[in-house]
Amino acid sequence: MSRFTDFQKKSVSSEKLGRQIVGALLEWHPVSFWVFVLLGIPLSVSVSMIVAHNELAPCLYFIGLNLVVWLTIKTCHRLLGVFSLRRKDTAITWCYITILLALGIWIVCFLLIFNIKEDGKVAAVVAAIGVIISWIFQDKIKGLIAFFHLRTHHFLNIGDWIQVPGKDVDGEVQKITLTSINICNWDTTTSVIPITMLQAEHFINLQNMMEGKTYGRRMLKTFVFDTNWFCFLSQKEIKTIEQKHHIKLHLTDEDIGDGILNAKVYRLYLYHWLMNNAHVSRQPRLMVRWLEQKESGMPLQIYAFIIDSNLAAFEWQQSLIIEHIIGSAGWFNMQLFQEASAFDVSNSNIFLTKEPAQYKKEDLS
Amino acid sequence: MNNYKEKPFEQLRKKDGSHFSEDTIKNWYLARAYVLEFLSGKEKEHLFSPDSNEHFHVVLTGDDSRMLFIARQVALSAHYINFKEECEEEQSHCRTIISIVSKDTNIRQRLSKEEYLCNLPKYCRYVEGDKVDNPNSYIDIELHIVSVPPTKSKHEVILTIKKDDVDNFFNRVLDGDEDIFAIDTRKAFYAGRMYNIGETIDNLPAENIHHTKRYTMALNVYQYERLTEKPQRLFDIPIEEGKQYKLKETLSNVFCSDCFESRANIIKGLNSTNLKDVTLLWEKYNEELSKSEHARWVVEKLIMGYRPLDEKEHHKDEELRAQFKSNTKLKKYHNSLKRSDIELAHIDLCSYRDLRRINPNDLKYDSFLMLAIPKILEKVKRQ
Repeated sequence: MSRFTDFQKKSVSSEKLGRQIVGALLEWHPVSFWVFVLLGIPLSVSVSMIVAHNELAPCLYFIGLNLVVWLTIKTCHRLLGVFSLRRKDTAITWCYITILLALGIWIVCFLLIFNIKEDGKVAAVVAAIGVIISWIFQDKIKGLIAFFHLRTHHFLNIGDWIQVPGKDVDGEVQKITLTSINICNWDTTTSVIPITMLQAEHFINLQNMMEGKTYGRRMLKTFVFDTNWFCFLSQKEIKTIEQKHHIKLHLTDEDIGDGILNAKVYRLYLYHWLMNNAHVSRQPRLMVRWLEQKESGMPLQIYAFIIDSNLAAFEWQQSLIIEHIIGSAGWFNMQLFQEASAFDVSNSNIFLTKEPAQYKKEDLS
Repeated sequence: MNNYKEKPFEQLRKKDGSHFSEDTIKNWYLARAYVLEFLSGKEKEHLFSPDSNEHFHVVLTGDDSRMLFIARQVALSAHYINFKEECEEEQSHCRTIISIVSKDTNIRQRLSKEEYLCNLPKYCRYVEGDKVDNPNSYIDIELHIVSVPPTKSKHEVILTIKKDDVDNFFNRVLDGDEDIFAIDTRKAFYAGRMYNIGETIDNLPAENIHHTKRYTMALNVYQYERLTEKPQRLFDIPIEEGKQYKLKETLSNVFCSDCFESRANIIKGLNSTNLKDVTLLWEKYNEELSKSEHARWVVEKLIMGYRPLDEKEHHKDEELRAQFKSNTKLKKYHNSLKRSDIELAHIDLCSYRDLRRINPNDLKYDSFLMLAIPKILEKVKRQ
């Protein structure tokens, strides 16, 4: 027995499909065996007695058919476990196809063994049972179609990161069955959703993006600037900024003219800085743009793609960019908008003054 | 001499439009023949697998002009798929090292001449004495100028090319073998036929470029349409004045196809499970092969006189992108840079990583070409 178990386990663990099938077929599963012996066989005999009027041959065929189908389903079920662990999506689909084929063959053989014809009473009973079963299992049948739709188009694989916004699901696909999908959410909870939902509702598959197969991961951040600090910079001031912060702004005398808006220079600076950032992709688009004026100020939006798409790396690079945006704003006499806090008020940081406010950080020239 | 043997080097001109000397042209052919034969003879020693941490080290025991031509050809041909562009440890990049034994203090200037390595010493990792230039270069060739031949260090395959052997070969061939002074351009012709497939079949993806199944349709078109064509001679039409870039673009396919055999041998060496269909391995290692091809292309372009874009040109490129007027305008600008005979500059002269963020649309050509190599080799073999 020990040798047999060893052989069976060794076969299941093998990388070769043939040996995996043999291993799964030989796996000893006492519960399902006794269920088949104590429930399956008597049931088969009873059905045969009723339908075939106590004939022995159809009864034996029927038991044989049940045994084959049962073994096929049991083997496929075991293989599904193996393939899920090995993340062999195509093999999983084939297992389900085999199960469905086995069930289809069972139905056809049942009709042939008992010689059931369209006009017989038994046919009417079988049809009625079929209708009831179809009605009961209508969701499962829909799921079946959804399963094949998602799998054949490779919309979903085990290990993919998906989001289903409507159901607050955000995590990694662990298991795909004919009817449901298990998802391990990032908050370590598990969601089980019917597979039909993914066909009916919108879901996002982020796997390609996470694996770095796209242009990158999108960074979309908006910073609101206080417009009181907007001013024109002279040629001299531009030169001072360049020298002081070791940057090149590539502005011609014509561009500057009598003065150039600091907000414009800052936007251009950020654009070129991002273009040359080793972690930012120039494709599919890189934008630094002003959005619609708000009560609080002018929002400046960064729309870029960071090539480090892994979450931690992405957040790290995004943070570095944000810090640079905050840090460099002052170089151009720009000020981020911040509402006054209780601390500001209680410390009299805000007060009325007869003198007009000096919206200049320092003398740039 | 077969019908497809051509003499492309004769048409090359210097930046100032003057001709290269006859000797230079002959030496290019000789160096090519010598190095390709030398490398294929020692192939088993230096065809590294993608996960190998070894590198190839060629020592040239002399610094006369013939040895510098040899250095040029080694730089053009010795590119391996284990080159790690993004490695943090300096020693683990697995670059090919070319050591030149020389006491000439002006060796760098000589190397930078157009007939030798041109722009390569300026951008690659260059070691002369204690001085190291471009220590973190993205180029897979390193140049070392040494006073005595180096000894073998850990993780390297060292091969020495002796001055006497080179002289013997050159003298022997100069006396006879005319065949060496021409190049069979069939592989180059077929390599060139892979361009513009995307114009008719939208199956060359800019994203997920190493997902080789996405090239299936384009590969089929290539195999059943382009590869069925009869090869044409590439260099028969004389190059017009000021159109040297055209010659260099076609020559690029020649240099590229010089490496086809060694790449095929690397793949053959990776077939540990005796797969019948080796194309699966070309697909499996597509990313490594593509990176290596880009590295080869960069070296070739620098040797042919191209340079990366300077700050101003990058700025102009960024401005054009920002204006979102049309891709045509941007393309036109890129073409104006890479097709000027005075100063050739190419936006793709950067690391593979940077190329992915700067000009990702061009990545697919390397990936596609790597999948096409086995088909080209088979086609030429059958002819």
